Amino acid sequence: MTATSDPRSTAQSYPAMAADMEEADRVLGSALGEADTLAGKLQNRFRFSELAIIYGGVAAVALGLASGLSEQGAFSFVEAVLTAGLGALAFISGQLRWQRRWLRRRWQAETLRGERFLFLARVGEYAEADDPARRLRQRVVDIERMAREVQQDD
Amino acid sequence: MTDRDREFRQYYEVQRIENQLAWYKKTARFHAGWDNRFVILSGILMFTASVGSWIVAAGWAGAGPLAVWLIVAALAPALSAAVAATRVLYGNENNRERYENTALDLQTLSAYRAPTPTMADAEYREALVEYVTAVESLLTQEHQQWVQTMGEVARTEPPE
Repeated sequence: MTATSDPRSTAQSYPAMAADMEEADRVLGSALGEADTLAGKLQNRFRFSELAIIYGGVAAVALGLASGLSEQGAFSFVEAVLTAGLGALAFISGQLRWQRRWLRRRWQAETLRGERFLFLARVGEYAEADDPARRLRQRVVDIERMAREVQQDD
Repeated sequence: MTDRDREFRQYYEVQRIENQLAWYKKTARFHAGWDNRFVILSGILMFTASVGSWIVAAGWAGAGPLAVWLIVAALAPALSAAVAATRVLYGNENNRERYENTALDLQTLSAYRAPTPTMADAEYREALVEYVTAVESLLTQEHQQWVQTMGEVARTEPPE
């Protein structure tokens, strides 16, 4: 899916591209960083909730078994609380769309990352644009809008 | 070739091709390792469950307290299912396969489609544009497949 390192680079090593690299850093830097960070946070939330539901379910089975084998009502009580908690977590995860937002933000980060190379290579839209830097700024806005289309998530 | 195209080619090779290749290979190994662990653990748990069930059904007192084996027989399949669900959640098998394939495609593109220094300016430029377009299309396709795969592992649908 993605390389973790930021391709921003030392403009000094590439003098013929230095101005464009600085422009790309300026336009893409914060947008890419924010999308990347947000995607990571949403991924963690989604996976934590899924793992909690999966292994919490196993714990509920164990508590149900303990409740059946012993006479103590405490097991049943804890099982009921745990099951309710897991249900609430599943509901919250679904309502907040952690998975969908994570995929959207990851898509945004990867698209922005690729856009940097298309801009620097002057490929596609950038080959024909009168002002490639302006075109890049517009692309960042378009990509951000597309990422937000599913829902407002910040 | 122009200075700019030459510089871009060097930059692209290091910052895009090598960077992505290293990431794909490392992540494919990660998924392969966990895929194996999950499959083995799931199998061990199912085997344990069947042993427990057999002991309980046979009432074999020599194996220890039957209540313990009853718990094992009930819990091991649940744990095995949880491990299998975790494997699906992380998309280990699909991700490993896709990353390995993409790395191979990327290496092939880099070896056979990249422009060569002997080309004239216009020819080099044309080859560079084709090369970058092909690489970026490959990576975009991989991202889309990843979104599709990870969108299928749980409850909500992936972005269109």
